[in-house]
Amino acid sequence: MKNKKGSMGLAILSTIAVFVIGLMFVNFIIPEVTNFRINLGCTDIASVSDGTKILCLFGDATVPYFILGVISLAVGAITSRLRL
Amino acid sequence: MIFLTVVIGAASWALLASETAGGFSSTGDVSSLTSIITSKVQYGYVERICMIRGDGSGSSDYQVNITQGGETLASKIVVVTATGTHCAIFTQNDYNLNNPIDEGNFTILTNRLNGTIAIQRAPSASYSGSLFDIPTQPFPATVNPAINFTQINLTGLSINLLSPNNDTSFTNPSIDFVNNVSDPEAVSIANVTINVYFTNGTLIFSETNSSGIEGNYSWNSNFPDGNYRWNVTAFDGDSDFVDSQTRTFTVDSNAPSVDLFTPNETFNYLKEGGNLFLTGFANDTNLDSCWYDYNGTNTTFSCASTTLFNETISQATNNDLSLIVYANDSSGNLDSEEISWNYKIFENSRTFNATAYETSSENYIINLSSNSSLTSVILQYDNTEYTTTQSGNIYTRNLNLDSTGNKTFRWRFAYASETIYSDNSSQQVNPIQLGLCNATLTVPYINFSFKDEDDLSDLNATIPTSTFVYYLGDGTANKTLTFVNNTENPSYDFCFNPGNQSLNINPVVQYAATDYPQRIYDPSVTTYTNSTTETTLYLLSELDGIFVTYQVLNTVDQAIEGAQVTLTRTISGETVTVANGLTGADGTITFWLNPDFEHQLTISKSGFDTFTTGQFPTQTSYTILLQGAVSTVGEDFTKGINTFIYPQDRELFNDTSYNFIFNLTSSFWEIDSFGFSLRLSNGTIVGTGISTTTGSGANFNYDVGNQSIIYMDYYWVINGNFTNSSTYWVVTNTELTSWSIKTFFEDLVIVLDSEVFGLDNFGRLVITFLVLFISVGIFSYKFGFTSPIPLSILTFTIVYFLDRVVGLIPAIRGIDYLVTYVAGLIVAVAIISEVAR
Repeated sequence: MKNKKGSMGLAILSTIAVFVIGLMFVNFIIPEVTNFRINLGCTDIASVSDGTKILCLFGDATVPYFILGVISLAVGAITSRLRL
Repeated sequence: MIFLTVVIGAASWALLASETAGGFSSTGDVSSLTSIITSKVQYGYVERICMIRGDGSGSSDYQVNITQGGETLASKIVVVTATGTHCAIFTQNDYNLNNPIDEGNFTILTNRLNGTIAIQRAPSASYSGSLFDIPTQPFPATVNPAINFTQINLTGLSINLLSPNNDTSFTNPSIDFVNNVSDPEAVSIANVTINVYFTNGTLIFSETNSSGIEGNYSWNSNFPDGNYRWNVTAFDGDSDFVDSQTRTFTVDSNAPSVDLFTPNETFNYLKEGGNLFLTGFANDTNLDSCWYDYNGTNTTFSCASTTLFNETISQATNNDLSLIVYANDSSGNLDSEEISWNYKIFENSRTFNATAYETSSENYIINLSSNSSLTSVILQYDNTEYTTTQSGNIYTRNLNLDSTGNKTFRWRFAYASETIYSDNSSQQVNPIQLGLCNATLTVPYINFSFKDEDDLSDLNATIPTSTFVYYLGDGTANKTLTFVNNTENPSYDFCFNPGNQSLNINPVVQYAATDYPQRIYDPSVTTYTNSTTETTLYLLSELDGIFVTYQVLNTVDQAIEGAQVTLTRTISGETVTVANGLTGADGTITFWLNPDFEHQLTISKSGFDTFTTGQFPTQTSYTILLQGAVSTVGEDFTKGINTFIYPQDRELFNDTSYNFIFNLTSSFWEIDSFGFSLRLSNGTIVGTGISTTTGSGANFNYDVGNQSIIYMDYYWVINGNFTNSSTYWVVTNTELTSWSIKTFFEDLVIVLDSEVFGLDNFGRLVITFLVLFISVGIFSYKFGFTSPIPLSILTFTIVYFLDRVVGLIPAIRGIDYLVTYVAGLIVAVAIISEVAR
């Protein structure tokens, strides 16, 4: 059975790995989000249609949600290790 | 004279002259030549030259020429076949109009032409019989003499052309012709015809008026562009006619065309008085003249159709950037075209001395017109670059010249990302020389002579060593003369070249004589001119004086170096300087003085109070304390200084202009000046600001563009002491932040404000309530929050986030953030109540 010290080390490593890998993928998403916003005209969101406004909000929320997901996975990696 | 009337048709011909016997150089029987008609040729009339053959046989050809001035105007062949009359009839169409003659009074087409007739016949050595029995021979052979003849107008009609006048130019193709026909002899007018021809003789318009009235006749027609000639013919009832003079006119309805090519560009660099080249075409069949209007002045220049013109124009001021070129033709048609150009940098003027001298201080000033893209102006002088000081449009640099020769200089401009150079100028820097007067140095500036201080007798003295540091400017560039003369002389003259300049000299002259101890003449820097300065140096006999040392200290007993010590005495009612010099590093200086006389001692040093006293220098040393500034180390020049830097935010955004300001106030020091320079990460200085008034900030407006960081190096100057520091701003590129959660909330607020799907303020409040209810409910259930404090804190946190951060909650009763205030109040009440409990 593992002790908490060993679990802590693995947890931290897991967290860092998840965090780094996750943020690497963010760099692929950011240009796509930028092109998405430019093509839909979200830079002047007040002048687009209502449906386009909603689409812009979804696009704006993509990266924050992705980062939140990465953080959640990282935290989950720590907590799951600590429970062992 | 025999007159013979020959009738042809209904016209009557009058013979005005005939041959005279012996008029022909022939051996023929001229008496049978009875009907040679001589007359003068008149253009516009019909002429007949007839020969009537008497007897003889055979057939002969005669060529009849109408000549004038050696030119053949018309020519016909007369064939004489038998006895009888044989005539050559000349009309106006027989005349060769391509070779008009205008000699003296004779002009074809308009005036009556006096001509001659020459009857040519084949030459023959001899013949018998009548003149006409001559076989055909090749021509020409002129028979003498030439015969003059005239012919009269037998119609009696008179034509007076009224309009248009001869050689008129028309721009309108519709031409009105008016002429007056009179019938003074009442022969009756049958018809009047107008004929208009092209210059090649083609008849293009002819109209006849058979009204027969005596008076004005008018015609009108349209003519295409071209040159024309016209005349009028009037016939009488006897079919005799008279032609008017022939006039010409031109129709030109087409205006010239002007096409301009240069100057039409934006020049990197222009200057007032610089050359520009005006090129283009001005085309017209009848082009007359060309001119251009530039800077309020019309200038005519040479131009030709289909020929490129190239005119040199002198650029006027920076506001004169366009001109108009005009071209007209001989009919008065006019065309014009405007051309304009622009500049990036315009030099209004430059100021400098074309001739200067080494060691002088020279200003180089350039006055420019440009825009904010001009970011720096650098003077390149003799292949070395110098920054300039800007004041409005004027950029100035002062240089101390330390070398001679012909120096070339120009300015280098940084315009946006370009480097632009001005035209070159040159300056001749001439040498200067100070030395003992001689054949080449002839303008004396200083004269040293020597006297005994005691009895004022003239002395001969030597100058064991002396140095003269001299310069024309501020001393940054200077020259040194070292002079030594160990031969006693009564005086020394020092001359300077050029002799028209004021020269600054710092002399240090050691002088002595036999039995007279050496003294040093060391005044402060003095300005000398070609009005020779006579300086008497006094020596004191070794029997009459003592060495006296003066030590100069400040109030904290520190030696003062460079203090000017001067001792004067009154000699024969005149105040003379017997000793002067500067203290050394130890603050001392020694003089040879006469202790028997009162001396006036003066010690001065910048920053100290001047010390003056009268004394008999009986002691070998004196110590003088100068009152005033005490030299200290480690002054705190930040004491009482408050600085203000703008923008206050540490973060700037790309492609945005900011007004960078550095301001300071001082409650302790008096500020000489303060300012800053803006610097990029690569060290480039993009702008500066300076101010001399505390509270009135130095500022500079700059668009940060795509920079990532901007530095400000600021400073202030107190009593010549320079204190500086730096700060910086980070420039954020907003293009890279579109994915941030901040963008999401900003867009969310905009979407909500636009009432998407009809979501108004009530809907937003409902959403807020639902978020609160669900969030607090989940937290309470999941983590077991039952205490009012954590619940109220959680509620306050969520309300604050939704209200202040996101801006979701609208204003209630006109009060912004009312819900946040209420939630905060509830938290405070909950905490207080818990604490009280």
